[in-house]
Amino acid sequence: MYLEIMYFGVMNRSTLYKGCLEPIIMRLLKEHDRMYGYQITQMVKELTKGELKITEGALYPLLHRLEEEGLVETEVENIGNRVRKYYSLTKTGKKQSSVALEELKAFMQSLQFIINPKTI
Amino acid sequence: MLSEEQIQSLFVFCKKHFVHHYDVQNELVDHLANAIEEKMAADKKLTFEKALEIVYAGFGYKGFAGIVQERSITLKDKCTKMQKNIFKSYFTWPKAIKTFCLFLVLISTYRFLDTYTQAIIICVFFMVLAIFEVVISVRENYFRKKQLKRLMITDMGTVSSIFNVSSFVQMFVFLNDPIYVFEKALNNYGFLGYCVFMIVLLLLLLVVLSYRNLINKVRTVAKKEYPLAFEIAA
Repeated sequence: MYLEIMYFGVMNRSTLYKGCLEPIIMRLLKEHDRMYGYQITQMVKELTKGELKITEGALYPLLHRLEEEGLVETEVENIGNRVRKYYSLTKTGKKQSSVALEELKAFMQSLQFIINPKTI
Repeated sequence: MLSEEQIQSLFVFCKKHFVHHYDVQNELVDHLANAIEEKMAADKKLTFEKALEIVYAGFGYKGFAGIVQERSITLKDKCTKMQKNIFKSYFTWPKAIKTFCLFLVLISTYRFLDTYTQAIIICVFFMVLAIFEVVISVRENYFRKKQLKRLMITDMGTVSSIFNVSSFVQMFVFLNDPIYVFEKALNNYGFLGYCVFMIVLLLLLLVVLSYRNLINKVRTVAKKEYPLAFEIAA
């Protein structure tokens, strides 16, 4: 119990956002044909007006996991003097992105019930 | 846009921070380069080295370690899944017919051989499979060493076999006289025992074949995505 209180005491925004990362990234990839890692971080930062910053340490493992699950596919392209890896949704990924977003909405609604119980 | 020299220094930076695989380095170098370019554009006085320091700090206290670790786990899982799919394909249409025919050929030898010869054949078959697997592994290691750049995907492809046939066969070393043990089993169980042995051998053969196909598939994907890593070696 004490540990739990301690955990919530030190929990910051980024910890709160962590679980929402997957639907956010999938939504972005659905809207744009293909994106590279840095572009995703910047796009999220821009859309949330700097409120949400995706760290590289969280983004790449997630993108790699989505790739392993077959939700995302990659293509490599030469950009001047370096190589860039682009991520795009697969057919399954496109279907899954809607499901993930619905799940996130349902979760937000549940949170709303807890925060504002009067609305129930 | 960063110069070629600066890009190369980013590769060196990645190596210094324990990112030894070219495929992982590539992604990180592009990310670092983008972030550095943006920082330097926003602040003209900012040097490349200082910008790199700031960008790297953004990766947190773990630096690249977390990304590398997660990547290796994901790739290992991916390769294992690929091999499982190849293995399963031997039991689905149309390959299942070939598998079944091979099984029939194997068990049809029963009536032409006495139990001692059957036991010898089973022993030799086990050894051949183990050697076949080792040869595939050694051959792949040779090709990996010839690569210009080390790739995590080819490294993981080699180590992620779903079953180690050679280690399994090595267990026979603990049997006092494997031929005698097999012969005794064949005498006790007859045709049923022979069928069981042949099923085991067939499954092991398919595991080794799926391992070989996995390695070839991984190599083809790697060559397509990172031709620079193979340029001279190819």
